[in-house]
Amino acid sequence: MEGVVKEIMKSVFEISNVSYETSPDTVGTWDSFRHMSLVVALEDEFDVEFDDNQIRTMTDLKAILNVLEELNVDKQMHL
Amino acid sequence: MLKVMVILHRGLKKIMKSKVLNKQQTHCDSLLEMKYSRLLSLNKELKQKVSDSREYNIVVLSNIVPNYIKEILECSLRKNSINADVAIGDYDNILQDSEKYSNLDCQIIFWEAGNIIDGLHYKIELMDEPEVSLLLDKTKKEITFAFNSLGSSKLVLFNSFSSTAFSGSNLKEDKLEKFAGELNRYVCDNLPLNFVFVNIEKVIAQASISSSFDFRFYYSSKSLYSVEFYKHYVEHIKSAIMPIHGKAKKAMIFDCDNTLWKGVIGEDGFDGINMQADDNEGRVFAEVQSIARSLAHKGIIIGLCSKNNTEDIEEVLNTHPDMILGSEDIAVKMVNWNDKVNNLMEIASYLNIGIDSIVYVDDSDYEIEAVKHFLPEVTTLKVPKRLYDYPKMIRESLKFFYKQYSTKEDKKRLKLYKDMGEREKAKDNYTDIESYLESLGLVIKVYCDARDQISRISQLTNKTNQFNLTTKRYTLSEIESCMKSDNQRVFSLEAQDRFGNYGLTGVCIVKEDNLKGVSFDTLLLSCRILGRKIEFKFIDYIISLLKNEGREVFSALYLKTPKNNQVIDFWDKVCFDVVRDDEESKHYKMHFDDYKSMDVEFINQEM
Repeated sequence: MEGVVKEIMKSVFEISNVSYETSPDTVGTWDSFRHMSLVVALEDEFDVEFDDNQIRTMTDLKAILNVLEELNVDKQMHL
Repeated sequence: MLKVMVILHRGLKKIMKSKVLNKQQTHCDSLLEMKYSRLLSLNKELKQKVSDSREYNIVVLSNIVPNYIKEILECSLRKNSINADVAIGDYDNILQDSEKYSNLDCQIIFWEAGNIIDGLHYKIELMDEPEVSLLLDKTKKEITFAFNSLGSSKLVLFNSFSSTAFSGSNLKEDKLEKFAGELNRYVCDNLPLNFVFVNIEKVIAQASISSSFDFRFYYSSKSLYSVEFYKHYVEHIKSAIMPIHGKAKKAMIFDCDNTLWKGVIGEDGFDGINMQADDNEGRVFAEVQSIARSLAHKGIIIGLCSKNNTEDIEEVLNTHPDMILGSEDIAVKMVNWNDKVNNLMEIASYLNIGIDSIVYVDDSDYEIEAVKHFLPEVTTLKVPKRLYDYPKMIRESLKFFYKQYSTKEDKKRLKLYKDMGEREKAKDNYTDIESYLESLGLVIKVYCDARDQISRISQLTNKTNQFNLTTKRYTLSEIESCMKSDNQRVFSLEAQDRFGNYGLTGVCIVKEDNLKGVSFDTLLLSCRILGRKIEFKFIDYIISLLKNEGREVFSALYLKTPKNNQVIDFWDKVCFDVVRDDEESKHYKMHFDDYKSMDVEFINQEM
């Protein structure tokens, strides 16, 4: 799952590396528009729907993985 | 000849084997089925592939945030080898941007009825008749302005005004629906010929109401439509963009047996074939023939490519009472026993058109697969097993033949309109952006150290990226201590016009030194009020206030971020001199004597 999330972040933000430090503060392209794209791309990929609160917190890899876990997305999925 | 047949046969065996695989492939290749993340990465791959051809520049002008359309439209066009680049105009700057981007290849306008003023979708129900008609007049004038400034553009796609997002389930027409309807009538009555009026209700119907809208991002970011919607939208408008790249189809070539009529002429005979309009099966073929005939009338080439005896086909064409398509409609006939691949190539060379301009219709899997394999540029249509789907398939293929101007008359009218446009411009409506802005009746109010606004001010410093000179982020308590401090001041700006209040939308923080200097620490404006010259009025006021207090030397700073490029020369515009310029920042100074007010007379200031 982590790998898939990373790939999505790479294509949404047009960056070549994603780490636990990747966040709107470290990535210039991570603005509110691309945040929407990230949300939609993740929802589409994992077939889930995030609520307002979750959307607000999903601002780094760890937080995104946490939210996906909250929604019971299988960690082994898409390995 | 024989050689070709052998190759054909071998090729075909291979194709049949890999057919299942191919089917999956094409399934995934359709944008409608594709996951959004896959689409993003595909778009990147395609960008490389098409980078050699001429760039086709599209801009989307909107009063909402249409951000997903960029990648989806680019991807769809790049898949068709068009080197598309899609830019998104500034939020709610349709008029300003219609001037700014009038020389691009294509403009797309998303004008959302429910957001013509902020929150109109609910406010309109409480508005009285005169208020609504004032707003209607204003919007019509704005539409005329956009018509004029884009009157010479090659292609403008203008979406219909829609209230469906907000009143889709109402039985009775509500005010917003009526409002949108009136605007649509106005647009239709005055539409310039280089504009295509896109009925977005059709797109919403394709995508369904429930999956067209995503309100989560409407209230936070003014993004209304879903990715699903934009996929269908792009699919819908593609046919208007393709012909510009010579990608429109020019000819529709039909097989005969079981394609133009039911039955096989060589076996069933002249009386055995069926295309009777009052017969259940024949009716389908009668309709297909009628569509083909109407295409011929519109100047599309209709042709036949059939394995038959020439005489048999000629007899049917000339004497069969149920034939709708006549000899006069058919520009080219290849009736012989040669293979279709060669026949189609001959048709193309006879007509002097590219092989990729052909749409070929046949009922046989064998023939269709052969054409697909050897002539992949040809668009093939196979008569469906369920015959009742056949006319629908042909109707849907009409989009391949889309022509913006179908007649000479159209082109004449286009010229006429352009001439008229010039005259209209002179006598009526807004003559330029300035006069439009003037008509808005903009009023600003500037506050200083307003304690009750601390949370909104802090929020603005944290959220604003584009019009933000230094992008310094402040917490509530930091703003509070700026306000308390003796040598710092926090100015905030509220803006409104005749049609509504934009709220608190600008912040400027200044720091004073012990001498006669003052420096601008922060200057920002929310994107909802950009393009109205409000920033100049705001800075005018602050500088003259400080000047009157005896401040003589002003210093300012631009700190570059990936998002604030649009203000890179703001300080230059207001007469500051650069004292230091490196890659990350620009430092400015100005003596108060050198300051020239921008004199934005159409904005009033409330004290």
